[in-house]
Amino acid sequence: MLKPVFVVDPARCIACMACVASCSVENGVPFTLSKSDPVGWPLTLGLRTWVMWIEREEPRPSRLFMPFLCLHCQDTPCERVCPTGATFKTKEGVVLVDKDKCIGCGYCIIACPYGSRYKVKGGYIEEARRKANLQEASEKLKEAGLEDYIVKPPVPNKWAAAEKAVDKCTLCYHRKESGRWIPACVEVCPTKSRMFGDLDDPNDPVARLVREGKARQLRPDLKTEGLVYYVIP
Amino acid sequence: MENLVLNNVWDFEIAVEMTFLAIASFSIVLAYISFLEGRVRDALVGGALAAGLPILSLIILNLHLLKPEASYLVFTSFQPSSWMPYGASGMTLLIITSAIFTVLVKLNRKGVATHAIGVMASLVGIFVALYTGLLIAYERGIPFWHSGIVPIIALTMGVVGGLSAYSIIRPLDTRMSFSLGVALLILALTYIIHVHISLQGPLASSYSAQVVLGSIAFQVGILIAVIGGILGISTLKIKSRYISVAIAVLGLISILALRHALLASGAWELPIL
Repeated sequence: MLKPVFVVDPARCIACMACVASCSVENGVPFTLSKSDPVGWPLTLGLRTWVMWIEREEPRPSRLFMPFLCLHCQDTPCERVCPTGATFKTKEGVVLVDKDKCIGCGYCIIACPYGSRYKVKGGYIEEARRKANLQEASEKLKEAGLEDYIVKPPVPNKWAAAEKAVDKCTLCYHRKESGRWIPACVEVCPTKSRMFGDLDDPNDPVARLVREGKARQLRPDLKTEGLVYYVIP
Repeated sequence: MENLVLNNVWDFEIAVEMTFLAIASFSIVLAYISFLEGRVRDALVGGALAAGLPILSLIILNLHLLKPEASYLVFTSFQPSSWMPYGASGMTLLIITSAIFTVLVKLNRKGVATHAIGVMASLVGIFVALYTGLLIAYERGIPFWHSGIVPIIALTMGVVGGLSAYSIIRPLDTRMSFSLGVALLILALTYIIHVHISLQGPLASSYSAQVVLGSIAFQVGILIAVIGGILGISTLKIKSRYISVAIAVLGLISILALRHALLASGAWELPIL
């Protein structure tokens, strides 16, 4: 059995947002084109993944891009507080939400120390379609006979975004079920800033980054022990 | 990049819901004490409040859910690791036991059954008051809430809520208005201690404490609690129906404002490199 490990190397990220777009298309998350202020966390933007940036003055002025997603904690606060058991861990350690069981109380959002979860309210997807920029883009695509491309239905997927439930990254777990497990964001990343591997495979170059201590966990003080690691520059 | 993010998951309506629970929680305790003292009418009013207000709370909670129609899953898929099923069960038990107690009192039954149900309802009431604090104090996500003082504040709010209700029901009973005054001062003091400790705590906790200090809800809540507290203590010397009712109203506004300030100021410190 593959033991998934996800490594992010922020130094390689160029913030092209291909990861965000691919995640949106794969999982039916409304790609919020018309966000007037795109600075924020997945939690505040209503997305499963996002690229944030950090500006530094020292040692020289620079901007570091930081891709962000659910860290898939193994000591899992969101699972612990879920009152209906909708949030659960698979045998590989991937944290998922059973949309049928989720009642949308928001307790898991509060418990998550990483801002990786958000509510998909009723009418949210329709509302996203009505947004000004999206409508403008839709009209242009319609003129070109490509109207189906702007809001594509998700890849058939039990874990796709659904209204009236809490949503989060699944590491594209549905791809594992189809026999080819590599998250959509990793697949499209042009600079290999996002990497996915098997922690139990001694020859896996991604797992080696973790074993050699080059990739570490964010906020180890919280002891949540996630599947996602960062190469700290 | 800003990594301190204020939560807006549980809004004002949850503060209202928890305030109803606070009033109900100790209304049943005082209803049972009234029953022991032979004050049947007061016991009936307190019992009715304790049975009715949690129903309103459950309605508000349900409206807040994305899928109210599936809320039964909290009971049928009971998750022992989450506080929410215990809270929902507590509220339901409070409704049932308080209703039975009220009916027994109304039927003038003074036997063991009434006492047993009265004690049980009182214990459930105390748990419900505590629960509104335990719910948010449990997890580490929001450090401002993750504190042992938060359940104590919730319990004190329950005491204030119940005493406020009884200061209206029994406005000439100095014990009620005096106790309410003391409870309000304890609430203000405990809350200030919590904010003070939070200021020294982790970044998100200290940020939340600063947000609280700047919020109108906190300023009004504390001011009202202190004024109500002083007025309450003064009722030992000045006995007035109007002052008692005024203190009760101040008490109710204060717990609502302070609860809202607590909920609205919880912040995460999201990780950055």
